[in-house]
Amino acid sequence: MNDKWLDILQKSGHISEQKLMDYLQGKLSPEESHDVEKLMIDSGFINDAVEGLSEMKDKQKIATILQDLNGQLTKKIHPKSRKNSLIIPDQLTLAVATTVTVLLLIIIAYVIYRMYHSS
Amino acid sequence: MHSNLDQITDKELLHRYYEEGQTDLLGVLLQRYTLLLFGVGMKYLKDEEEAKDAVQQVFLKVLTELPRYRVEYFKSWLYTIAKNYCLMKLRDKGFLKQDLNEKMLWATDDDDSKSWHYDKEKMLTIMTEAVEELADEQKRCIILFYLQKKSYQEIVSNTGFTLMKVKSYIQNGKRNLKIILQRSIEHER
Repeated sequence: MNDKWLDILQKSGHISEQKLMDYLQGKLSPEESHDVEKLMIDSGFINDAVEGLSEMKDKQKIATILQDLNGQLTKKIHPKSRKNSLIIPDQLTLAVATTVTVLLLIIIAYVIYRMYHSS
Repeated sequence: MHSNLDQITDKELLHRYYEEGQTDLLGVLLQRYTLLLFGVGMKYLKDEEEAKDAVQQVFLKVLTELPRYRVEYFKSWLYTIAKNYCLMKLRDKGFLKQDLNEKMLWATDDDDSKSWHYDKEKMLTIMTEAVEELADEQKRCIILFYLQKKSYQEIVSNTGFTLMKVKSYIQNGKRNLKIILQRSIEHER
């Protein structure tokens, strides 16, 4: 009897993005393809995804779409920190602004002083 | 901030999220599934922009709903949300002729959540007998796939069946095998 029969009852694990992309682009060996297909048999999620992604003619485009979607996700997760970064100046900007203000005040004070004394 | 998050399982990540409440952890978890979600969107909606929109909507739903409920099986839950969103979209467009029923809406990721605890030798004997009960095409594909570890494409070349047929024979063959196994085990008890 062959122990491999019991594989039918084993639950499969996860699939990495790289492995999935390699499978879609036909870069895997028959053995590696079999491993991905076993995951597909065991998971409706992976099976649906592979079938959907196979319909994309330009597989290279998938990486760009993925990056874009993950970027959007990060924006959804950190909307406040982005907003804050636009409003709250960093320490260097604050230091420069303070110096400029102080210098301007000194100049104005000097001009007023000169005007007062010259008259 | 979060070291080695790539190494930890979904379950642990989710547990940490419920403990610590940091949305960053949800981001890490969701990014593991972006590609799969986009693929599901493409399968049902057949349009890149709509599939991208579906992923965004799923992200939004997860970020809104996950803090409210204690989800145990994240992958299955996520798949259900994604598939339901797509089916609803198709229904709204009038592309779905039949009504959405509970079976369609409850998408299970794992085709069988059951664990098999049985004596290994006994199980092998039952399994060998069960395979003989399968229809010829299913038996042939099951043997090539599970016993000889052939890929779909190799089985297509070997049998002359179409890719769709091969997938269907393996899926149905596996399902039937489990039914026969269950029946045999119950019969023995």
